[in-house]
Amino acid sequence: MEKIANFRFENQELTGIVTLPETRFPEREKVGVILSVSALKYRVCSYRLNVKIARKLSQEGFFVLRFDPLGIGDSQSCLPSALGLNHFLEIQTGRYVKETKAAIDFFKKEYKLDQIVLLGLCGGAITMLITGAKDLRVNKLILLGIPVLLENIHGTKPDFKDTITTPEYAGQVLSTYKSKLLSPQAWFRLLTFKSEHQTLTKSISLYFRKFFKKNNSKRNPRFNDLFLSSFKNFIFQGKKILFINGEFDPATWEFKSEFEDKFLKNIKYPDRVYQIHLIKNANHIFSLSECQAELLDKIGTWLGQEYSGVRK
Amino acid sequence: MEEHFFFKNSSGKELFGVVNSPEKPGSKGVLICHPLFEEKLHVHRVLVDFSRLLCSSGFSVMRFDYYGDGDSQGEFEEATLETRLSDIGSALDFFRKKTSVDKLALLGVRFGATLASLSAEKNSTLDALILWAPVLKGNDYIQSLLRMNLTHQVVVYKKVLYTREDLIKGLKEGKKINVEGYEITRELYEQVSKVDLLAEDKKFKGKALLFQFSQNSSEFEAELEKLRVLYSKNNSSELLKCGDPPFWGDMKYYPPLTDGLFGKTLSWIKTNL
Repeated sequence: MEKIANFRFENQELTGIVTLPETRFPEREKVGVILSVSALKYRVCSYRLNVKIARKLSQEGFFVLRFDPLGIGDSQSCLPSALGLNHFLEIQTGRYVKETKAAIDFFKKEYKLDQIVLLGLCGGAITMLITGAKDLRVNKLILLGIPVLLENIHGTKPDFKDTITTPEYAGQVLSTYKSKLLSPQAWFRLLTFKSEHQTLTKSISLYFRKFFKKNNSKRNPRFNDLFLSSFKNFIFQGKKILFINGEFDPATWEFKSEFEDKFLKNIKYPDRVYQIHLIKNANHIFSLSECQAELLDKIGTWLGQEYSGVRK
Repeated sequence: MEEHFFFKNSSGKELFGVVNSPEKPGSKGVLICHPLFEEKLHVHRVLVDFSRLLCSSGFSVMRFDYYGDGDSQGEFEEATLETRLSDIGSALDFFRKKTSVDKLALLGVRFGATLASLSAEKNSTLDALILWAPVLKGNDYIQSLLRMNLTHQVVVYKKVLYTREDLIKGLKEGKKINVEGYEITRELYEQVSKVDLLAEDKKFKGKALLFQFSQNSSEFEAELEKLRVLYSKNNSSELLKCGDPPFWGDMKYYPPLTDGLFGKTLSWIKTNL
């Protein structure tokens, strides 16, 4: 069963939907899961992913709230029109955190909950991580396709070449050029400097770097420091995070090279604080049917283990 | 006032709806039909903002999600063209009862405009039709969706494993095809493929406004002009142009730039409804 959930934030009304538990588990009666919007897409998320997650978790006995921040979806207020990238940069640095805290206030009070889990995809994941680090009422995090690099530090649209940051992504870009090797037109474009030389050069240099196992400890200038400080803050409270990434998502490759390889390897007893689950063949939004199924199953299983119990 | 709620369609399934009621309720209302697939997400805020603008100008407005879409009950793959047309009928009934409007316009964008146009053929009580960038030929539309599946195959598998012909064959055999996370079924494919808004004369007797989106072209598209002529055989119809970029494909700007669209549509509704 689903109910409209309108609540106040800074004298404006935010709109959401609460999905009530369909099955009763004693251990889960006071657990609420809040789903974030993924950046600018409203509360249903791409291909209704949030609706699917909410309904799946309600079958597992959890309360679920998904809501729109100010200026998004059906909520009140308006955002000033700007490049989507500029909005995304603000989201990566905590724009929705206050609204998420208001959602926690509402959800806990209205449904008498004592455990809160935050879940988000992409910009929603970073929102939930920053909120979790700042709000002691948050108990667990589920972060899907979380970006560790800031989208756009200068507030302008980056060149395509600037988005190629890992050997894996470079390999994907180069594979699109493979089919052009036997094309005279493509060679003509290359030799007359009409091709994207900088993109090609950067891709080739990045791609071949992986064959030289150089210890690259230098931090990417676009690395989101708030991501790292929020991660540390959250796990030092002894709370758990589930990361779920897609195999063919550039954000996953950046996550691995900039965070997993450089920071996570130093953590003792990682099983106690985080788990990383990689979904094969998945893109950034896990759109393939089998990826969606695995994603829903993993979220349900992990939360089920964290709040294990016997069905009433 | 803006009210969010669930209401039942003709099959007893719960649909999500929103009604904006002006301070002094009048007799004129607009029901909004959303597009399908990711376009629904991209246009959502545009439709919210336009509903609020219409309401502040004295019109009652209702938005809703078809069965299997948005916050409504059901799965996307369970819904067809027919269920969506039926849901528009349920929403019209609900809207009339809730607000007591007696002059009604249907407004749709992209395939939502197509559904609005098809719905108007069956509903003689509608007074006006507003079509923002309607999809005129269902077959072209569904083929463009299948192309997205091919693009996705290249990203994941580095090559096309199933050609468009393979996908169509699979659909006809009852397999589902994934497009950006949504499952297209044989029923939806076959029903949408048959849609052709230009195929025959219109039964709709009300006034019609059509919108074309083109930043560069100074001329109207011939096919949209043809649709306008079909509507003009029964009543007045107008084809206007919006110079802002199409807002249903991505979120390059948020909220999208739609100044020309809102002002011209509102002015037309004030004059013609």
